[in-house]
Amino acid sequence: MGAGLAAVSLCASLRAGGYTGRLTVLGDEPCHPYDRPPLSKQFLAGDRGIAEIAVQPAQWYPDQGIDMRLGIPVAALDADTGRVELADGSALAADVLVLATGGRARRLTAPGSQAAMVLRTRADAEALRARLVPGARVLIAGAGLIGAEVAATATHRGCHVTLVDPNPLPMEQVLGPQAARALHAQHAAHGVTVIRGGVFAVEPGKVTLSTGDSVPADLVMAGIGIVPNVELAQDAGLDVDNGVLVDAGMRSSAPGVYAIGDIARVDGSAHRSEHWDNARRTADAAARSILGLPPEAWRAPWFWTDRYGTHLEMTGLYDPAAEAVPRGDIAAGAGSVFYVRDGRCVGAVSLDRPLDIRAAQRMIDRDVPVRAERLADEGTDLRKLLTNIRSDAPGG
Amino acid sequence: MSDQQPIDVFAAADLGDGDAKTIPAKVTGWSDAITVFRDGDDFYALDDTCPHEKASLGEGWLENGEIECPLHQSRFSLKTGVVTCLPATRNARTHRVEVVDGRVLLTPGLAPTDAA
Ligand SMILES: Cc1cc2nc3c(=O)[nH]c(=O)nc-3n(C[C@H](O)[C@H](O)[C@H](O)COP(=O)(O)OP(=O)(O)OC[C@H]3O[C@@H](n4cnc5c(N)ncnc54)[C@H](O)[C@@H]3O)c2cc1C
Ligand code: FES
Repeated sequence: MGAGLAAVSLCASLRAGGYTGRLTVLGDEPCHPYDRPPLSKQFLAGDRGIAEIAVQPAQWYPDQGIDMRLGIPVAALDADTGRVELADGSALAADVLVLATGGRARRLTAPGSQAAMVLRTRADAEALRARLVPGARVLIAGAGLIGAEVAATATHRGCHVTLVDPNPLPMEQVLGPQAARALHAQHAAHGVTVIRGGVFAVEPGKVTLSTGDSVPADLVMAGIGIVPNVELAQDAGLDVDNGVLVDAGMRSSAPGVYAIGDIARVDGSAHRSEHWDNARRTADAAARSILGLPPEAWRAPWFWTDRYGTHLEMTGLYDPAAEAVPRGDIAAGAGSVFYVRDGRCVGAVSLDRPLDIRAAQRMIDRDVPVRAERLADEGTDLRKLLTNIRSDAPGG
Repeated sequence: MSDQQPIDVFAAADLGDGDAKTIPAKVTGWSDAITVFRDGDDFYALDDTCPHEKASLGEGWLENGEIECPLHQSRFSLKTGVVTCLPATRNARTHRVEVVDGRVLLTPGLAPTDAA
């Protein structure tokens, strides 16, 4: 249920794992699954078209023997019988049900803000792109991942952008202060007006902020996060708390019902991941559970974001108690920060240095001991450091 | 390409294990730059541009006979160019490389032999 990246990845993993039975994907959007990351980047900029953002080419679905039923929302499910009802009144049944309904864009609640645009679907991106014309005055509420990417793309398209966020340093809790500062400083450097505050009221042609400022705006866009689409699960009586609660094998509280992607939260973990790679991994984990295969080893989480032509990646987690080890100069636009605790790398963030992240992922996954001086030394080849540590380590 | 002549690109000893060298298109006459990878004693050549977006595979991470794209971590078999994980859905183009008398010879457009 839900035809996004998680659903496609699940089908691929099931087939790769030898499953030859029936696969049906139910999606409410009328099109084949597409990749969402380009919606705020190349697709919004007009540099990539519909065909280029498809998760898989259209022929892949029949080739894999997947029955795609698109354009009709799922209305209800019965966890005991495996029966699923669609909004058009039809119904079907399955032995295993997987919830992959993702999330929808959170909306502003201030008076008049129904007029604010959001960005979650391809249709949203097409509507937004049509309004991002040169000279347009754009007010963006929220300087997190989506809001900041849209600010960069809108600027690139010649719009005048005002970016409003109540947080003095957006993303600091996720990335750590050095990287958050380097990223946030890009807005002003590219001519975006950054205001600390919230949206108080939206009126035609202007927005009143919590600061009392009135900002002229031809269009308002809200990038203030998502709400997981948990209603189906909730109505079916599954355990839900900021996402459908699952175990490490993506099993929900109801036997035979799984949840994957943005909608799922592993019971016991503090937050719910809303990243591309998480959709793939959780799909893989669910496929292994369904097929009765042993789970794969845990891997460090990973995501990226692109703004103003720079590429940021993060792996592992930012730990405020960890030592922040700089490599290169992230403030100057190319560098990384490794978070090191008790002689282990627990996370890393990098701006335009993706190989540092490739290395960090492996340090975390393989639990290799690291020394801060070595990481900070640009003369250290991280790839060789990893292989050497592995062969040096007693007993492998 | 009809006249597939091997091009002498560099000395085998100049490329360390796990390293890569990218040969610009103007040298090879091919439509894309080509990267030569060394994995142990084996040499492989792939179109440098990742079939997903625009990243250079030569800047990727080589491990277990695969090159991992530096941007979004799609992986490609060095031997066959086959993509083994999303987001890329198209395979990378492979080319023939041979080592003759310590020199690395690249033949753009010709399928790799397995008799290297
Ligand atoms: C603009 C944008 C940019 C992003 N950029 C990045 C990035 O740079 N890096 C990164 O790591 N991640 C990024 N992400 C996040 C990433 O795209 C998501 O984590 C991923 O799409 C989650 O996949 P999913 O399959 O769980 O959910 P979704 O992709 O949301 O798919 C769920 C599908 O289920 C459908 N659905 C919902 N309810 C029903 C129902 N009742 N019946 C039938 N169908 C239903 C939805 O309409 C949707 O089509 C971005 C997301 C957006 C929106
Ligand atoms: S550019 Fe290579 S995976 Fe995206």
